[in-house]
Amino acid sequence: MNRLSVTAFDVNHVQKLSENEHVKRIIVGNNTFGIRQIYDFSLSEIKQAAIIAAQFNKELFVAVNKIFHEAEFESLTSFLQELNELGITGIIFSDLGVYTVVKDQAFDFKLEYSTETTITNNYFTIFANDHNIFSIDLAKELSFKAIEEISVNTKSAISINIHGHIYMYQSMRKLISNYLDVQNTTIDNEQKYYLHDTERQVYYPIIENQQGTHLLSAHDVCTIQHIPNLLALNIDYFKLDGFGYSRGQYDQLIDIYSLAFDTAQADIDQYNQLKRDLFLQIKENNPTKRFSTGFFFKETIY
Amino acid sequence: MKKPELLAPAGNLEKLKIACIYGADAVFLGGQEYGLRSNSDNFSLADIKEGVEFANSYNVDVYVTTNIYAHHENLIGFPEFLENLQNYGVRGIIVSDPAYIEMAKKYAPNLEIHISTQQSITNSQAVKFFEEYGATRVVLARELSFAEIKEISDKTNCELEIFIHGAVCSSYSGRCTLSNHMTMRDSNRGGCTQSCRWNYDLAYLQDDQFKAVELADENTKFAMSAKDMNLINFIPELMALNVDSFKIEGRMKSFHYLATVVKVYRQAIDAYCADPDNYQVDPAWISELQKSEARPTYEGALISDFSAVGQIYNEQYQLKQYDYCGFVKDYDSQTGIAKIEQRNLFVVGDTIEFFGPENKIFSQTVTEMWDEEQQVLTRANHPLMTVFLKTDQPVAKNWMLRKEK
Repeated sequence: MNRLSVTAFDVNHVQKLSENEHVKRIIVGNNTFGIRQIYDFSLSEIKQAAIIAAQFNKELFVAVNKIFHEAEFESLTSFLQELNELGITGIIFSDLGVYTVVKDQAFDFKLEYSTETTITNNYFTIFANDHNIFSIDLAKELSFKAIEEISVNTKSAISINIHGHIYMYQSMRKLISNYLDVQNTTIDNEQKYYLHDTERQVYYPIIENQQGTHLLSAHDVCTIQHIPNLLALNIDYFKLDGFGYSRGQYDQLIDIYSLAFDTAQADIDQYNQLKRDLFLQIKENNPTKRFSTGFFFKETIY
Repeated sequence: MKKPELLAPAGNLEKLKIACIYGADAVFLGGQEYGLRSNSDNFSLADIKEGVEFANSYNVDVYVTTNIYAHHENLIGFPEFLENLQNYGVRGIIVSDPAYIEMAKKYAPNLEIHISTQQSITNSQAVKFFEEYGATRVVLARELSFAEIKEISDKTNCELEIFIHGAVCSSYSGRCTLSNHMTMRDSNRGGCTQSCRWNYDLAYLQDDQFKAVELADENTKFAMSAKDMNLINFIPELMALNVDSFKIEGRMKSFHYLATVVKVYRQAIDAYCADPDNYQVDPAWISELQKSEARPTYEGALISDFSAVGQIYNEQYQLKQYDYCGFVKDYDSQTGIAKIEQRNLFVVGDTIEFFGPENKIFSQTVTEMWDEEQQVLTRANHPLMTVFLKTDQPVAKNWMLRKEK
């Protein structure tokens, strides 16, 4: 099984991730053109990452996943131009304006369309195929059943998140600063802030940066006890998102998932005996986090 | 000078009629499925047909919102729905999901495709994408400034629509699943429960423990709620953008809101177009809009202000100073008696205000009123009851009456 899509913490980490046989795709990015990035990769670091990944025959994707405003297009276009010369495998975009630039400039890297939400049915795979978009990243609010329906007759490669936060809200407004302004105080940029939902008794991580405000789910998705369900899907990329983890925690996570995939494929009974311990290990390694299976086994109403 | 369309929300058939009568050039409405706002009354197919006929008799266009992001089950029946819309004479659909766009191109090629603000389109390159994909019009994101909209308008040929009045999402539209997480209701399929308007406590993590942030005012809770948009003071700036449609938000808002907001912007746009050089904001427009508001407003993103001025904390504002009391069904100029359909309680002795599609308003005291059997009434206290009332000044069918709270 080499279908893991992973996020790199720095260039050295790209080396380590490349050495993992389960890894298929490594994702890097920066804070100028990407959102919710773990590390601010410079162009020369992206170049090094691309070289390392290529040596190990891994895909290197760069997150260019902001929603862009008119004034940013000049720098965006030159950034994409430079990426095109670095030998990266592709970029991850969420704004179809980025698609237009790539098409007009005839850049030859691959494209992944990823919006966190909104990519919710099989037509998106046809849409991707028609537009020469290599892969799509399905909405995180989809059930396993819905993912299965989309993936059975897919016309493009598909990525899903199997571990990590769900980004549930993205605003241009600086909502922590605005609130603290009303309270006659200022934001402490070193602080990790949370919204306490007293009715549901949960804490949602809230992040403010130069791009605005991001709200994350209270629970991280964790599918470690559902690996056979994942293996049954016609999905090309299983993403383990390292955002919100330390490098140490994230490496442990990759090891645990690698073991789970190997065991599930070799001996399902052994996996079934092991899976609870693996989950408890993840919990123990991440004492401040809470985990759930997200929307995989729930149906929303509307 | 391009005179943009004034596009109004039609939450149900009756609201559609009011929007047409009070001066809209076009209305948008939702069917029973496929559109956001699943809590709105929405239109049956028969209502849509009747609505289009009524609107067309006023030379008003109808657009239908089909702007959910569809899951598998939401694709069922959509081609037939589109064919019906096309047959009824609907001009276009407001849409964000490529599945629906593809189906529209295939099954109802005469329908215009308008890309919903749910796509959060913030730049000319994205507009260009959708234009090439078959869109007639793009509804721009509500994060853009005047300068940004002008630049997009200069660089593209596609029709552009912008919001000018009403509630906005504080997130990029379509990129929010708060309701999914908090209430298991799918925000991108019409289930939005406006969790952004709820109160939260701001906390931080220290030594693996959550602690409350110390605040000067403990009673002012954290919220993500955005003030509504109100651009009545910016008609010349809006006209200079050279866009094709000015949109008013609010399919779930009241009759009073709809009639007032449509009337005010109709008058403002017409006044500007008639004589741009001598155009001035009529103070009555501002006071009229204030009477219809239930939430605080500001100029918003168009003037690039994303500061705390644009936020609402402790959502308890009750700015609405007026109750909508009734709708004039008929008026007899010989006797000066109006036939009124009741909407909210009013009693003898109340001071009520009459207003119509034109800019004429007057108030009077209710002295005498009768029911359909000519029995004298002291209270109009039954919903939709017919009331006859002598008015101090002439009114006409489709006028409204309201009273101060």
